[in-house]
Amino acid sequence: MTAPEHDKALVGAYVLGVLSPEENTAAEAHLDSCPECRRELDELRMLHDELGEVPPEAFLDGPPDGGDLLLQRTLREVRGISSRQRVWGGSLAAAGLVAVVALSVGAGVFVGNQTASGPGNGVAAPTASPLPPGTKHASNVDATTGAHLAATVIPANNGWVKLQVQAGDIAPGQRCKLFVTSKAGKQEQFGGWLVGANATPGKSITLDGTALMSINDVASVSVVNDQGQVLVNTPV
Amino acid sequence: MGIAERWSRRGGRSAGDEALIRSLYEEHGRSLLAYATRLTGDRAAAEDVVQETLVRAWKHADDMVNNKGSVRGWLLTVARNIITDRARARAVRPTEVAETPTTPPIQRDHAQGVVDSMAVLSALNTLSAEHRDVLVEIYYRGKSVTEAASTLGLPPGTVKSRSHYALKALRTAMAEQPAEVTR
Ligand SMILES: [Zn+2]
Repeated sequence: MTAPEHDKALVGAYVLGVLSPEENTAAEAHLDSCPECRRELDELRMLHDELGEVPPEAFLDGPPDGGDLLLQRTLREVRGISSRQRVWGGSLAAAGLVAVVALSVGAGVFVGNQTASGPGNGVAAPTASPLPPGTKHASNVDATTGAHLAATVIPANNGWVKLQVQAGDIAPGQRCKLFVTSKAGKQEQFGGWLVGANATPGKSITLDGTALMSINDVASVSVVNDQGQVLVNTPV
Repeated sequence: MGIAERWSRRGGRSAGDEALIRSLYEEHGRSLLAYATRLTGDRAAAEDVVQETLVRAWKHADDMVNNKGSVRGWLLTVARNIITDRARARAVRPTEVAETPTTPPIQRDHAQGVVDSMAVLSALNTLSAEHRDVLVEIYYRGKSVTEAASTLGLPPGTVKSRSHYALKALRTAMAEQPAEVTR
């Protein structure tokens, strides 16, 4: 057998250990004779080691098995702390965060400087499960600021709504808050993020949140900066 | 709505607090508990760790949300730090000194420094779904090419080549990660 062909695309698979024994032998024979592939191998091997820093549990989704006793316990602790500390220090009070978080797929939300990455790879794929009946979609582009906002409002239990928001074209460096406004004019914040200093036009971020508002009461969703300026608002 | 609303009036921000904790629990609870259970080897201890992690997330929600990495990475790192601290405390402290539950022994809440240690996870989150899925199946779920091919609905040859390009994309993503959090 002559030296196997040069196929750099197999180096990654070799590093990951997914080649068949025959392919493995062939790849090793080739690596012996090809400095270019060896260089590739060294780089990818380092990366492979870094993959090991992420625990495999990072790719599990959903609540724990076995009911929500743990959740109830945690809520009790937080209520206890809340009632002891009437005055709030720290960032949470300032932010007045209602809820944030949670991409439906993969390993959580990527916020903050996310706008620095490309539209095709910055945000994970949307959730695969079908949206429940009653879900509303809305979007708008603000004529003045140029910011765009797309919101999906999903009915949830006990008078809550889930909100999935995509926003973009917001001037860099701004602290943004997401608000949902009821028909009666009541506002609830349901998330926030910081637009990266190097944010590129055309890139957007995706955030999920929840708010204590019945879906029938939802009038609009908006992005507001920390000066109180409405950057974009979309009626729902 | 009743209970939460009453909370809201009485406690100021409590309805929002509950929403935050609930949504973290529903999204990340399984991941956190599985991770803590593996590290502690003890389900009850792991539940305590998850509880403390969620409480810290609630106290430091702003940091968590505004850090450049993923919320999942932030939570897992906090859980790991709590486990490390507890192990250290057990090793160092004389047994007769009990911790009073109301005064946390360690004020350092690891709100900072959490960001970078999960850089790989953040980078993975920036990959396309195709690239991330193949790495998750093969590396983190330990699937063979054949198994991954059938899970992902791809020919085995594509799984192999895609795993290579996924690694390359990850390398690019790691290189592009900002070194510092923008305030
Ligand atoms: Zn070669």
